Amino acid sequence: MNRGRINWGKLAARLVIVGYLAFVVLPLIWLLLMSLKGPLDVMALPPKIIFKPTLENYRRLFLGTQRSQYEVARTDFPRALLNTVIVAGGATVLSLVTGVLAAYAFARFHFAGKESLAFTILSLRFAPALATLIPTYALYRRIGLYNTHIGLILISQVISMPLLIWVVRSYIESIPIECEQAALVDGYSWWGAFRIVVLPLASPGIAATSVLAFVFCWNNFIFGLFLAARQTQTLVVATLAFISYEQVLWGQMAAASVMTVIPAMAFIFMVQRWLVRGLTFGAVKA
Amino acid sequence: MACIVLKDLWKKYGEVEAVKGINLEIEDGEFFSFLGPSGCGKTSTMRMIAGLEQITSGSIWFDGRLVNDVKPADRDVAMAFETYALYPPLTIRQNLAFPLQVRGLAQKTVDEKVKHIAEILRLTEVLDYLPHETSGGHQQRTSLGRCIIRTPNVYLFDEPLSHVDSEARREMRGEIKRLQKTFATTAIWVTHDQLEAIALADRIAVMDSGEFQQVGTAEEIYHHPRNIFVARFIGEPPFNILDCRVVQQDGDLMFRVEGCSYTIPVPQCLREAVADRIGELLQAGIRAMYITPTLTGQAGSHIQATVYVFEDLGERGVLTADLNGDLLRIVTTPDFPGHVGDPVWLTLETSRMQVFDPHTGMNLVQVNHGMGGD
Repeated sequence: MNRGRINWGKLAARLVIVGYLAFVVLPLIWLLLMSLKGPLDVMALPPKIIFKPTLENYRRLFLGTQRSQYEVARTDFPRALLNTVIVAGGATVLSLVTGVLAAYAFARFHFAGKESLAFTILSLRFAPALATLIPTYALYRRIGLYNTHIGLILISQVISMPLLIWVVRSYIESIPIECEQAALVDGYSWWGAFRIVVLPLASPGIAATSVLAFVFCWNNFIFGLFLAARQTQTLVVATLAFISYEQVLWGQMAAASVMTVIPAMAFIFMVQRWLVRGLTFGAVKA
Repeated sequence: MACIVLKDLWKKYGEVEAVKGINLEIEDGEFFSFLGPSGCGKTSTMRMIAGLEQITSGSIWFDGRLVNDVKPADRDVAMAFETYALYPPLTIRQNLAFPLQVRGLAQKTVDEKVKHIAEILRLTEVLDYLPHETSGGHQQRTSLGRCIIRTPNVYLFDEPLSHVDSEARREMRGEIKRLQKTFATTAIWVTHDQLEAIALADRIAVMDSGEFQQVGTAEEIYHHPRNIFVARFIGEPPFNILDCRVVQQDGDLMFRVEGCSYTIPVPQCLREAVADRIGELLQAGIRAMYITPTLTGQAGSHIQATVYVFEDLGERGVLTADLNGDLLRIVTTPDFPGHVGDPVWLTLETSRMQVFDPHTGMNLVQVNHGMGGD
């Protein structure tokens, strides 16, 4: 017992960390457990920790669609998964292509209204999406973008584009312009210099920001709710369908939530090493 | 290999006039230097020649071909940057090979050239390292190597040795000069170090505030400075200047130093220039090596001053003498026995004197200074 004095400060710090982790992680664990419970276990009070797990919820999620006669949930989960991949993936790719080039323009060129424009783009992130949703909805219906993948990809640019432009801009600014000029003098065209010098050097920042942009688009709720219908529903919105008129299908909703969360989490775990480095690097050099 | 002509070249950054209408003709195969203090416009001029800066007005010609709107890649120039500008993700070998590969040379030729340049510049051991893994000296030599591995129209060196220690600097200077002569490629070297310019260049353009102060060989600039700026900028120790007036004394013209009664006979070569300036205030000057100091008064001595400080620099000594508050610098033997406060008599080699107008700063004797532009 007597192994030296107890370090109260450290102990307190550790307790705080454990408490916080519990706060964050326990709901996720509970969600996972809930998704593995049959309908009776899910509603049991007091909540059961020990139970017989079942994969029935997942089975119904993936195999039970509207086509089946007695499924109550009016949703097509596999389709929602596909839609989310298309929308989040497409939005990220579009933001990458246009955002990286825009970031280069902001970093290297001088033109009237540059900083105003940059700030305007950033301010897209400040405004709550709800504020502009009604006009957007009306516009979309008018021009036929309602309930289309393209429509969702375009509106998601509001989320992903400012992020990409701002972070990648500071990355490019930290690359000395002489390296590009050296490539120009050595015989490369502008595009060659961009490809050979700028892209490799900015790639950590670009990769990290793309991942973030992807995850934000994946998790987005508002746009999917208002601007999509059955055919283009995204995962987060599809999960809502489990709250039906008569009852809440807790088990399936939990399974749907788990399926929504897992890809994003897995993605971030895989690239988290780059993510921290990528984002702080850009900030420090800016 | 190209002859480069600049005609009425201007560069303005907004309101700031960095280069003010300069005219110059650089001959094919010449090693030319732009010399001047920071901010004088030499780097801007070089970057306009490279095509990295827009020309505000005027024109640049390579071998009679107007290149104002030609992209850098198509001008066939090679540049060594002050900050090296190496490609961080490429090894030293790849950095050196880069400019050759883009021009589609066969891999075997590229490898041979890289090997050759690496040997000359002593980079063979670090060829497979990344730039940030090597020392500053290696990076600087790689930057130079990347420039000289090609045989372009012109080499452009932008203060490439300014961050290098003096020993390496001396070595590299010699190597570069030898290489330039071997390949007979036109080269332009931008620097603020007058010793470097004098050592390397066939001709030098001394620049200040966006204008050429003088263009000529090292010998012309050193012995016939066009104005006070050039006189003071070139030469180590710096040029000595005294305020004085021309007076008639016993039928001879003499310089009388202001603030005291010392007189220096006007030499034959300056008689004509000062003949109509009798009584006016002028600035007369002489280089440090043309003054002889003695610790006892002698017949030919012109000025008596006081020893301010003496520095023994090994191969020579530099004596600073105080004349009524003005400091004169004199090159002496390293064993000069002067101590602070000792009186010292100075004899000037008057045929080496220069006289300047105090208002315009111009040398009263103008030798044909090739300012170019025809």
